[in-house]
Amino acid sequence: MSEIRVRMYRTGFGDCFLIRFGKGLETRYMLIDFGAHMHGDIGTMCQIMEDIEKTTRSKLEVIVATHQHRDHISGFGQFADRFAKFKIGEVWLPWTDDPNDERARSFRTKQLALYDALDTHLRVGLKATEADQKYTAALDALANLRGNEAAVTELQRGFGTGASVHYFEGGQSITKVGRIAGLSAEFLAPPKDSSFLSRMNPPADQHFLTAPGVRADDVHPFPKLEIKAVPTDPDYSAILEEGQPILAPKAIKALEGMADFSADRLALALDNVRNNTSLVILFRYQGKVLLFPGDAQWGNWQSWIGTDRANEILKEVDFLKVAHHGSENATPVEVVQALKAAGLAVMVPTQTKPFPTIPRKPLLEALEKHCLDNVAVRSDWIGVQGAPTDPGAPTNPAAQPPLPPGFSLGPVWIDFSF
Amino acid sequence: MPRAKRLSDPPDRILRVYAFDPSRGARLENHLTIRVPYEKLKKGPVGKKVAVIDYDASNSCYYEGVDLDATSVLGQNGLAPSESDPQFHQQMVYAVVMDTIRRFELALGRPVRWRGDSSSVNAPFHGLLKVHPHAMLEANAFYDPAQHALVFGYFRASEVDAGVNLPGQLVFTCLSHDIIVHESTHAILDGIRGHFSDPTGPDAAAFHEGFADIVALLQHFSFKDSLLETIQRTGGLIHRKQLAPTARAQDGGPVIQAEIGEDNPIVDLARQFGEAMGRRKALRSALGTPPDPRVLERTIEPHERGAILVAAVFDAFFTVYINRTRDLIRMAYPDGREIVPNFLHADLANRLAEEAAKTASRLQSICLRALDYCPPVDITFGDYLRALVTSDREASSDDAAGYRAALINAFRARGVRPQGVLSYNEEALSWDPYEGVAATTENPNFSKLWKDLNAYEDEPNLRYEQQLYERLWGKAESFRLALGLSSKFPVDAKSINPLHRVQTDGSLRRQIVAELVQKEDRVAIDPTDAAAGTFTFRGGNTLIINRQGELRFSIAKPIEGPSGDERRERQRAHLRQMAASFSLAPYVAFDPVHDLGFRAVHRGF
Repeated sequence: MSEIRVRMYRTGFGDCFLIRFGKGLETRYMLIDFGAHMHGDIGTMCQIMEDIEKTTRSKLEVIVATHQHRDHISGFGQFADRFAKFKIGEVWLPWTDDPNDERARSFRTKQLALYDALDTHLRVGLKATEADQKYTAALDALANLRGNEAAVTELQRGFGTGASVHYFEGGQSITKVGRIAGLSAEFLAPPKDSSFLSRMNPPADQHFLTAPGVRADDVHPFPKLEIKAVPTDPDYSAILEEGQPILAPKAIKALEGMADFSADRLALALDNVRNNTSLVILFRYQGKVLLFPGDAQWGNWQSWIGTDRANEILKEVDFLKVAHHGSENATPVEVVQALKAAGLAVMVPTQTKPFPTIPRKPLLEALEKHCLDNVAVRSDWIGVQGAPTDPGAPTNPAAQPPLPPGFSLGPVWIDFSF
Repeated sequence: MPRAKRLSDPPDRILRVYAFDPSRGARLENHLTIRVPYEKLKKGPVGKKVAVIDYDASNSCYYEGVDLDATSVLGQNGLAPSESDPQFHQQMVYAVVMDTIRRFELALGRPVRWRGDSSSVNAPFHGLLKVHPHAMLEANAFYDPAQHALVFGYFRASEVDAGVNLPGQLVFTCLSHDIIVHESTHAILDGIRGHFSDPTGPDAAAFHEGFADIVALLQHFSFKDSLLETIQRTGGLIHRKQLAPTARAQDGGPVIQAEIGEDNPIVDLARQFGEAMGRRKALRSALGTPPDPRVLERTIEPHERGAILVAAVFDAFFTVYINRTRDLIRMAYPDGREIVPNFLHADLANRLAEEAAKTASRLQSICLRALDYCPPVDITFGDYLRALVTSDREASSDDAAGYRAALINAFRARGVRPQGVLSYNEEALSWDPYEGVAATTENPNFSKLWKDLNAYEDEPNLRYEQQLYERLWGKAESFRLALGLSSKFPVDAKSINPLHRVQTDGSLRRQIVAELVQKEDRVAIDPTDAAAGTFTFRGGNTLIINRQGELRFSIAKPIEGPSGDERRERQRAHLRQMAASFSLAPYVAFDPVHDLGFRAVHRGF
């Protein structure tokens, strides 16, 4: 039996990785993320939960929740009562989830209020629905950001199992991980410096919803002075007669378009902000190096790459979990270039629903050049009845590239063993 | 004839505005009357250049436009400052936009012209800059070239951390003096150099932002009343971040307002806006961080990078001001005693204020005039430094007051390195005068262009304008080689403007400044990845033409050759970097035209 086995489950659009370290009596398990996106759930969560229980015999050395996104942690809320029956050693969370950290707390309060305000603004103010293409991505991103409180609370209290809860920041490292002999972990992100934090605030260009509960339709700067542009309104005809300058209908339409221009983009930008709080963890075990970057996007990577040391680290990596489901800018070009030239084991938890732009083909192609047998293994190759597959990828499983050595296919998972 | 002589229109219209924004309260130094050139106004106000149209897109309604020519308004220097009266808001945006226009016109010696208006010729207010003081519920203000409009938002201050504002209070961006000047400057600059908003590199977007902040901040220093207060409370050191309290607090700490020190308002930009967003401070400051030449390389975000440009100009400003007032300080304090804030002699404070205002207005002119000496495309901070030095040397050959030296040193200290310049002395930094090509080839002569320009100035109609542009285009075509233009791409005669300069000897010097632009369409951002998209690559020359029709300067950004290739690669790298850092990348395809255009980058005031 190999001493490290990484099991990638297919939750739909989401992450769930169960890693087995050691063998025989010294077999230990670590669970990294367990979630599915509300609109990318393919109905496998229960089956996965059962497999986790069976495989680990309800014993987990460590649970890692890389960041507060539904597609990474929904399972921890959904199955909180079942995790409560586990024997859990430690829970690892990014420092931005620490309830005792003042900066993290104020940041979170602002964000939560903003998510709610934004949802109201989109749905009530702009009458947005998922059916309207213009807003689909924004509402989907927002759905992923909201409603995670139950899962987060459970994680923060260690499901009441007495597990010790740790909050990590970029730059820290530990040489002893629970009872997993020989495993060390280095946290590369998220950093705690102020320039990173300032980028964590909602993007500077889109502040209009800072005040919780504010909607476009209930702020009237001069309620008694409003004159609606309706020809039948006597006030309107009166000011027209007195020479009031008015806009052409086209210009009014453009201005109204600008007024709601930012709401949907703001939702997506907030999603990016949250992704960048991802824990990025480098594991070393028996000479093997595994990198789990959560959903790190550009801003997160920028906080630690670009140095000689970072390039050395990347060169050493033997196993890579691809960040943010293989989306554009979640794996910078510099990172791909710095990885070892060949023989890398790569897993991509992804599918094209609900975001057709994910995964990004050119990125995967670039990565594949570094991979074992030039294949980056995708979770949506695991056939699940009724689950979407990449319209661009071969639909017939037989036509998919054969799994490289070390990989094997299970009912809802793919394993990789060194 | 018993009738009295008919009076002509007054030269100025006097209007009241906030010197900063309403958050500084109803203090003397926050109320300001400014003079703008008089013009007959329609309701709105709507004048010859600007139309204030108060449409609120979030509430789909109009607010009645003010009639600034009404007797009751004219008779009291406009409406009194008020947050709750939208007609005062309309008056303030009009006044501040017009004041900013006037400053540009004085410095450049010609009328300000807006970018071409893309709306239909019959659309209302075609060709005018539209100003919407309450356009929408949004904590933002921006210039929108497509709509030919300045758009000001209003918003509720943060409920949790509102700074000087009441939690949840309505904040109007159109009442911030800084924000109005900043946005107007974007619009004016876009009319002078239309391609500076192209995403050609980190410096281009940053230049637009930094330049707008420079103009807005220098405006602070031209108001003597607010300056006097700062001079007293900083002991003449107007660059200090903090004002001393006007009364000394007892041991137990301050009890009344006068015992509290506060931020120096004139070095800050948009304080109310910044505080309403829960930032606890002004949005930006003139002072930046201590100069460090390495910071520039690492700073990409346009506002942050622009702040380095602002810090450089203000370093120069404060340096010249300190040099110019050293004699006054020595006379007032011959024994070298330290100056105690709040205890300056009123005469001294007054003289210091005068010097500061003079220095500011001179520096503002230098900064504005330099625009004419900038290349037509792909501006970098280094180009701007060269333009500053060249244009000021053309205006006054000696640098007695030390403006140029102060600017050069300040830019150097912040790591601005003009490409291809080997030393930071004035001669090296100036653009090379045009020397023509080999002696055997004929040098371009533009004397006929003068004839056309004079004809057009005498009678500014479409026919003469067309003739003028055709002449320039024709000259450019026939002298492509001599001007270093590519033979592969068509030439566009983008602009022709007269330059008027009063020389130090009192004589008037007239020149023409003209822009020629060439473009290459659909250049691949990444030649190995078709999905990465394409961009339009531009090159061109700014020509400065003497009265005799000879070329004085040809400030070139070639589209071809080694320098063109290098610039093309640099723009590719910039666009790739922008695509990689694009925060919506996972879900929204990156489109350089849309996502790096004015609206996206400059939306954030």
